[in-house]
Amino acid sequence: MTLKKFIIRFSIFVALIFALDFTLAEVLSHFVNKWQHDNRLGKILTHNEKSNIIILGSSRSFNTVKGKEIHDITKASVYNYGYQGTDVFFHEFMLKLLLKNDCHPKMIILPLDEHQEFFIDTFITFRLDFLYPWAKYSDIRDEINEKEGYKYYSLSRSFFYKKCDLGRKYAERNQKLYPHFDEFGPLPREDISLTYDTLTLKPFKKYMVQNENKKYVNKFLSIVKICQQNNIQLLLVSPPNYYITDDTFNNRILELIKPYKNAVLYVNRDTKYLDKKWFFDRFHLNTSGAVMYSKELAQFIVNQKLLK
Amino acid sequence: MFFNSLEYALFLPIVFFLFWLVFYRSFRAQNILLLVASYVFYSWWDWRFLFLLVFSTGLDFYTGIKISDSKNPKERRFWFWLSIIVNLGFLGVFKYYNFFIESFASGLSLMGVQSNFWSLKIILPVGISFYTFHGLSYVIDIYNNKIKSERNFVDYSLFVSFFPLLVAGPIERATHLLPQIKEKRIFNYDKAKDGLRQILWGLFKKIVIADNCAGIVNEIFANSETASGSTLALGTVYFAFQIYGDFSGYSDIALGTARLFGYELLQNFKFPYFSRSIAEFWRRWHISLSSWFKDYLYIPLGGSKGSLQLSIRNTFIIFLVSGFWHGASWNFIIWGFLHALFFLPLLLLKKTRQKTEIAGENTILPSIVETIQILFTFSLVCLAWIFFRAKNLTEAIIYVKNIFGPSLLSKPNASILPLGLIMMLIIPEWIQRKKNHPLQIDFIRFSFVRWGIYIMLCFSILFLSKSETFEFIYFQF
Repeated sequence: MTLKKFIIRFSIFVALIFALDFTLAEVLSHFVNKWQHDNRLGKILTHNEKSNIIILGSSRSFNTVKGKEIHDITKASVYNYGYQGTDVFFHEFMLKLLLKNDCHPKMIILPLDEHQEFFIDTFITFRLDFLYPWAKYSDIRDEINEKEGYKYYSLSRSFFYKKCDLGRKYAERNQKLYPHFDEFGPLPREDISLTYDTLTLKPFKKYMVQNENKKYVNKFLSIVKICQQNNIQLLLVSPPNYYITDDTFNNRILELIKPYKNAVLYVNRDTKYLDKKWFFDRFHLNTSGAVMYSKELAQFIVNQKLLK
Repeated sequence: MFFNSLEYALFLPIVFFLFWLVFYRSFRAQNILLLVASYVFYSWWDWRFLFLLVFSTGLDFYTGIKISDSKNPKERRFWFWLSIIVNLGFLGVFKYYNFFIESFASGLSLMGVQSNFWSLKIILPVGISFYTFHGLSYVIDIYNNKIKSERNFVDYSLFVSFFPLLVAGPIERATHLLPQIKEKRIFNYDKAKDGLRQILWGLFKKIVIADNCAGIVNEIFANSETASGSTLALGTVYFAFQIYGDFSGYSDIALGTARLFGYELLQNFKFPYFSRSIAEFWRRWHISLSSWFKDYLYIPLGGSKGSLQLSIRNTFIIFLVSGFWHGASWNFIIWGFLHALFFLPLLLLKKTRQKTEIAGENTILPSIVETIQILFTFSLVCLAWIFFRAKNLTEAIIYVKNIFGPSLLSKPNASILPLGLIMMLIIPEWIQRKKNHPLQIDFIRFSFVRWGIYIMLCFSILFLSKSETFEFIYFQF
């Protein structure tokens, strides 16, 4: 009898904890999604992303490819899902998430991070913090749990919201630190970086194929294969940098995508990009640079008839 | 399998339900179940070391019977020493081999002799110090005719390997646990409820207190050469609560888990940071180890019954051995030595037996004298913790030197969030200092208030936990 009482009471307690956790998570998710600055993931998770061209990648995406210019020239619907500081693992996750949530774009534009794409780098990681606010969706929760390793708090729904960024108002007040958005996604930087004045056009470290991390290369190839399997045109972009480099990285990409007919690499070596005025910093274009570059990229899409 | 892992959250209810709902008819079947569960629990880390555990158990079981059955003192002595040597031999090889080899080599190099001994990459089997001490106490008790040998291998194995105490204690005694193992168990609602509450409090101490302090402690100790005195002092306080939250939290979970199955384990901690002297501290900190050393080392050496010099010698021996038990490093030996040194004035003034009751026994708050005594004792304990925590002696000495500089009075350059969490620990522990753990709150009349407290604790564990997991510190011992 006492055992029965114990089991019943304990079960009630556990049920109560789960109910409270669930309720708290619901309240927090509403609060978080309302107050956070970047709500783009919600568009995918609620199956509302139907654009024909999707831009994936890191900060090099929204600082290079401006959705409006692509749309104006190609006349296709465009949206940019570039997230700063994200690596190829994150980009592959995003692609899978899009496909899983009824978004079947005709084209994926993926700007590459020359010296970070295939290497372990502290500045380019799998940014779980972008996922926490969406933990109410099982796809997101599973990904967080898998990346963090299943722990006791994997059973909780509210746990992940403690890490959420509720800084919409802060972001609006500190616009230099956070990207702005229009109907095509985040916008490039309007100003210049703190290190802008010290920028000089000099050679950057040499790209070393032998130092590549195989896991990263395989993830990249996985993106290429997923696109091929889903009949998606993959447009890889090697954006301009404000440093002197050679074609080792671009040749490496061409070598990797050679067996795949759906993948194309866009390289623009126009000498006008040797001018500092188009750059935010060494690795990113500013708004004027991105507008100019995006128009040229869009023209390439049209000329090559990549958008079937 | 960690107590704060998802695996354990599934493992424990499964074993509980099998124990009380499937195997309830026979306590023998329950013992077999618990033994199998304990071996599964242990194998989760590294199944290969299970053979060592089973061998050590089998050896002590067999030698125990041999000692008990033998009438010939020489034969008894043979089996006794065989068990002691093999047990300590395992401990020596797995835990101390490299330490002895490296210390010997550096000793020779100091004398100008260059040597090239082999140091081995030996993995320390989890819990070896704990289950070896279980076995040793059992064999010593039989040899001293305090107990009779156990004839049931399952029962004896369960005494050594019972999963809540297997990897980090408390170090049990055959006189205390074996009789419980051999008794038919009847489910006790109050006991089980209290067990759950103690588990909850243990998780709070580990996840909220210890883990939140751990990251900051690691950072401060890693930067001990450049950090300010106040930061280093704060780092020491944080480490004091990290190790307390970690180890006593583990013990609470172990005791609570055992209580769910109807067993009472030895209490390992009794609010040690409320101690007013080092002697009192050692009556409240890692009690099962202190009493083990007292019964099997201090008293056989003559204890405090002989001359003052003998008492001093014995005190230093047990503290040095206790330090060495914690790890094969000079840091732990110095840590033990410091505690012996802090103990010395009490020994000379014959005040080691004072203060057996808790501070503020009949008052709400401690008196001014008691507060000063508590703070002074805590400071001494913290000073010794530096040697326990530092990577090596040089780091510890630099750390101590850098604390006592002019920057001791500056603003510490570390998060003070853990201080708030520490208050969440100290206040309930002080209020409930006469109880076994702070969640013994049956005096609160309304059950919804009690449930509210439990729920708040659950959510504080959830929301104040770190995503990085820190191992229980005492697993390395």
